[in-house]
Amino acid sequence: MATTCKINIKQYLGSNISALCSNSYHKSTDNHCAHFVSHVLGFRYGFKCKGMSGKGNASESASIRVHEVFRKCPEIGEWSSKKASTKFCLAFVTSSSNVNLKTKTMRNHPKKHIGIFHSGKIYHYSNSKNKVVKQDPAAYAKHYSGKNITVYYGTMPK
Amino acid sequence: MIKFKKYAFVGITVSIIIVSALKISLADKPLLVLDNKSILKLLIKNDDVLLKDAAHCNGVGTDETDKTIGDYISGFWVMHSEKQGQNWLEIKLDNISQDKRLAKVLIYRKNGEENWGWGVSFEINKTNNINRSSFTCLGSG
Repeated sequence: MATTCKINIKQYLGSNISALCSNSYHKSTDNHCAHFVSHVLGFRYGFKCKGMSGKGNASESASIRVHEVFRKCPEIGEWSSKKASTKFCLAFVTSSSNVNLKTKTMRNHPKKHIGIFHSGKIYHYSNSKNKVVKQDPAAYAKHYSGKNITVYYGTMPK
Repeated sequence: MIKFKKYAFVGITVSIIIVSALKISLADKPLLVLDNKSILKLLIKNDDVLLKDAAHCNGVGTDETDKTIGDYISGFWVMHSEKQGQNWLEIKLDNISQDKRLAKVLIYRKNGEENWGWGVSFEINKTNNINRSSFTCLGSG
């Protein structure tokens, strides 16, 4: 499990998904939060971007579904229970009704989001701005309006 | 007897020519036209296809109890009852061979950071029937 970030995440700030994905899955009407995270961190689980575009190279295809990445995390929990020593992990935001911490599963509700926590900031793909942005965890927690919106951490999948 | 044989030979030859011509004409026949409404009707007719029998459909239901393509599609389509934001369907049909087409039906919603499209693809044959084992669940986020 990676506990330190060896990638220069800052380089992606302001980038559109087309700068990261060589498989032509760039539609702005689709959701690219898990797609961004997976290209940066090299996640290749479940359904991938090539499956959506039908183009490109399978070996460069990345995961695109939040719930499929969520269940790969060795350890998950509410953000408030994250160890202070954890400086690099995944950050999920959704309603608590979509998450079962005991079974480490997340329902495929469309109001769910993922980003990368690194050195106090969460880097994620804003689907309204169509680019990578960074926020502090308090601002990230307001990604969706509504009751029971909760931020979860997930340690890095192997 | 010789005359009968001659007639029989001619008859068989003509039959072979007619059957061959029919075969060629059927093979060249264009695929039946399908509009978006017909594609949706085909999907609804096959809503009982099990998610476990379809590709990339593991865990795609909005509820843990979702078992069929119909359960899955309904879970996303019901979100179009929200009046805020933009809701739309995307329906596409592409030829993948001389006698097969690939239909895609996606349910889209955009409301600020809530931005998604989930749906299915499936193959339709020459006689406008779905290949029930061809379902794939599409979507990201």
